[in-house]
Amino acid sequence: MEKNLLEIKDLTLNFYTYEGVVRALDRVNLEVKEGETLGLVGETGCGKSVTGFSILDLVPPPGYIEGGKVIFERKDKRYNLLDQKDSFLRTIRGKDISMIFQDPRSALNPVYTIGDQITEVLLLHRRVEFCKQVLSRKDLTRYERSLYMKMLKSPSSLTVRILSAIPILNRFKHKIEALARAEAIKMFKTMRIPDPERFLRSYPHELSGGMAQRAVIGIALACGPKILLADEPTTNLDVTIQLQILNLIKELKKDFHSSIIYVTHDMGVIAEVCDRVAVMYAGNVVEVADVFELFKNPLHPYTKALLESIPRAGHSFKSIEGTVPSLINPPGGCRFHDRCPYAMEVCIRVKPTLVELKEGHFVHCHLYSKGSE
Amino acid sequence: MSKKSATSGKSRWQEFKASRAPMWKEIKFTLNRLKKSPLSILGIAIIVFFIILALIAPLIAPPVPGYDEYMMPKEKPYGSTPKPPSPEHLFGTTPYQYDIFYGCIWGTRTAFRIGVFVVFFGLLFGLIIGGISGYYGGIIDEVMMRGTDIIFAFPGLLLSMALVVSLPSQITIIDYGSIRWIVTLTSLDKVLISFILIGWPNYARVIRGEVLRVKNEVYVEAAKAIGCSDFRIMIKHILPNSIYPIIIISSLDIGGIVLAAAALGFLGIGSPEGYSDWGRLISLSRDWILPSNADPLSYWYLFIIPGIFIFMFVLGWNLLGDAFRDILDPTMRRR
Amino acid sequence: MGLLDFTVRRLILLIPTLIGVTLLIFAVTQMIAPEIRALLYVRSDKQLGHIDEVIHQYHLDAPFYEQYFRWLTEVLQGNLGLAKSSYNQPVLNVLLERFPATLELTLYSAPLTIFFGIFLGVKSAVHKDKIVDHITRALSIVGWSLPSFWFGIVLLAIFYGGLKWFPPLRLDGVADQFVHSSNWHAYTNLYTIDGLLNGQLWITAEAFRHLVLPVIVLVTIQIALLVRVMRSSMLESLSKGYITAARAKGLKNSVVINKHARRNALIPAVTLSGLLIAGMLGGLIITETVFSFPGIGAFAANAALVGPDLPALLGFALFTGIIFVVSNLIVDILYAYIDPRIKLG
Repeated sequence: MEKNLLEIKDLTLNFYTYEGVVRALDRVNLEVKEGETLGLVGETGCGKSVTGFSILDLVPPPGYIEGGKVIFERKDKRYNLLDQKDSFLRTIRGKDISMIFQDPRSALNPVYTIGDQITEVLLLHRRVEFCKQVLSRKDLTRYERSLYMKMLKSPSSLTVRILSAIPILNRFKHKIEALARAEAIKMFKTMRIPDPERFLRSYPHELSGGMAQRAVIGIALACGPKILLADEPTTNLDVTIQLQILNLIKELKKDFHSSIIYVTHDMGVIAEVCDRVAVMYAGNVVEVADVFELFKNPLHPYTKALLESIPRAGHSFKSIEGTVPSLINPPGGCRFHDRCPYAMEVCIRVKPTLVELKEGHFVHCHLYSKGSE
Repeated sequence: MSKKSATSGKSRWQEFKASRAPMWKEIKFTLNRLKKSPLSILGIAIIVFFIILALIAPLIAPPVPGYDEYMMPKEKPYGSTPKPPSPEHLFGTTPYQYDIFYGCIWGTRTAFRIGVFVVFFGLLFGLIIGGISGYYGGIIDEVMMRGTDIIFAFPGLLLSMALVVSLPSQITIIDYGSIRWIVTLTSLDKVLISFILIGWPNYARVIRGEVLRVKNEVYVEAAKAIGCSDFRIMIKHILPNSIYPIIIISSLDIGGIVLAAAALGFLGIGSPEGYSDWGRLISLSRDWILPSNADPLSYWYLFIIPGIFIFMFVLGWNLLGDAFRDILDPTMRRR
Repeated sequence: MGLLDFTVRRLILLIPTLIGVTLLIFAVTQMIAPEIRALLYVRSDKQLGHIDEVIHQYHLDAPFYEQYFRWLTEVLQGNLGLAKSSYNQPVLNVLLERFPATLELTLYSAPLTIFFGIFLGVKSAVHKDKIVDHITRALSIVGWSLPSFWFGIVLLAIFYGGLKWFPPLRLDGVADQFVHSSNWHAYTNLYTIDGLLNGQLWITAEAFRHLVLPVIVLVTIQIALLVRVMRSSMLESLSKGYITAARAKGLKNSVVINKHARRNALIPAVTLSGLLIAGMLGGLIITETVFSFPGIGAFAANAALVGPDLPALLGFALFTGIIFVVSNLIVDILYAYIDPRIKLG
């Protein structure tokens, strides 16, 4: 049995807005194992994206994490990420856990080239490795050697910083930047991008959606993260490009041995890419299962309704009655009860507990918790 | 008995109110935000204070019968030495004995007249030309843009000075047979006209920008698709959605215009000597407060008091405009 | 299309704009009587007595376009008429003589305004709604509401009239005599720099002493606008997707703000700074008048009052207009340099 790389326990998140307190996440529990792709699926507004952001503590105000733990395993030590200081989290972001975004062109800074943006993350996290490589060369001047030794020992030393800022004196950085660029080109070659040199010199607005997304993926994978958070990366792309990117992600996952948390609202993508799936509704996780198991044997009424509502040629269009409740005053008990065709009296009052019906198949529903009665 | 709609039991009035409900919610939200911001309350308070001052001007500074009420009263003997504040002259007198108190109070009226007049007509021209230019585009738009570019090439104060100097004092509007309509322009009128001529391109540009933005929104396309006339679209859709920046710039501009008019007045351009205009008031005392005099501080009342009036007036409008800018910015509204 | 192509294109567009500027000025003059307009063409004192000849010579009753071309010819030869308000000296000479003073004022006000404006704007945006933000915004609104002449007079009254620390004018007394004597070699006509070049440090110190108050007035009023623009553009930049993405890379907060957010936010600020500099170079009419600083702005103010001196005013307008248009061009090019999206034009 593979161990859990990341565990989210009882995560609760609120947004404090003018109209009231939005209870966006209500005791969310999730696990991500080594090397697997976990799908996080649900309608818009169910909290799937925000869960991803919470892992890296990137939820902007007025959002605040009210409770819960996010436990991440790194070098055989387990850390609760929500307890850590920002300086620690910064060593995780971009390196152990990376993120790719829904709109690639807005995730890239328009005034910097792709090359600048990827070498930025490479130099940030792999500086020691690059410094050692530079220092092993024979053709360094004394000046350069001493500076690189300084960089190795104390990366944020004042001397290095000041010298980096002065136009002619900062030429010593060229060696390490060249190394970073070479790494970037290697990365993009692996992703089979034609003419990576030119790619590095381009600006985000010069790229198509698909190419921009490849750039974002490249930046995210540059430091070999253990977990990749993919926040609806193909939603904004053309269908044909979607397929290309999905295949790319699958390939890269194999090459880099990463786990992926794939957030989407598209069941088709889930079927294509994921090993396990977690279904979310209105801030709760309602069902978790293996992908084949979920499609074959959906247990939760919401999951069933989701699968039925996928448009199919020859079948009439089926949708779920009602609308997603406002999370300012969410319904008590099970949040799905007012739309559930199987709702019972207990569903209105009591929140259902987690039940593991089959091995690896979990569900939050009163229909199953009293099953053995 | 009110007409009832055929589809529902509600009266037409109730239906109308319901359809406007989102608009009321927005307005209430805006007023709420305004109430909460201390700077905007200060701004509104200042403006209200000046409005009251302007309204009660004849009461607290009664005009001298027979003279133009805007001219400050002079007191014999017309000595050239200014006098400090005293019971008869609450704020003192200028050189040649103009009453500063009178000038400041009636100056409030002048300030409102200048600000509102210029902004109103500037907006009017700007709205019409900017709206047409933005909506119809094409050559009209190009010409207008080049024209405003050229006007923008000059610092405003300079251009207004040049215009004031060049504008003729008499304009013949109609001279047809027995119908003659000749308008005489005072110096102050020329200043106002020059401000309007310089100012409207700015409004036209902003409005054109807004119209362009709104024009491309989907709901305008939808309105066109169901057959709305151009005029109807402009009034019903484009205008309400472009109004926010207009509110912001007009409130800021009233302050700016008064500031510019005061600057010109200080240079001696605009109203005649003795007119109740804050800037002109200060210019009367130039010899006594500028470097040639070794002891300007003892004549503090000559410039401190009218200057405070200018400053407070402009500050009030700037606070209000700034508060509007914060509140009406759609991206920041729901924080 | 690279930066070079963009520059060339804009340079070409410069010509019609300049023509438009001259046209506008000329059109304004058409409203005035020919006798006064004749003054624009006068080259020497002698001609002042023979205005009718001048009118005839330059066909001032001819159609508009004919007059325009004649006038343009005169202007391109450097003849802007004689300045009634300045002892009938040629307008162009007076402008060139007085320009260094304005330039010196701009030289010291502009960097201070831009540097502190951007700095305060960024700080204000990053610490939105906290004390720093409130104070900065309050000061900024106060600064913008101050009548510049009033602020100048108050400062003069306190610091000169009262304390005698910072005098008006550009130089006075002994220093003024010295720079007009034969011991003085004028390299740049900027007294602060020339003082160093001549080895007369006391001149530099004196020049600075006279600059303090006008620079304070200019910086205070103009910084208000820059802070506001920088703040709002910074706030907008901070709300964009690439900021979250940058944080997700693990970058330090200060790096995210300074490297990512600020670069994008600078764009409108650069445009505004350019306009501010252009405005300052074009003559600070009010400030120079209040401090009796002998720059081109004071010249224009004097011209408007004494007379009105038409050739002087229009010459000034032309001079300023050209400076403005050229500055706008430079700003546009800078803008294209900072924001790569513009070059594709």
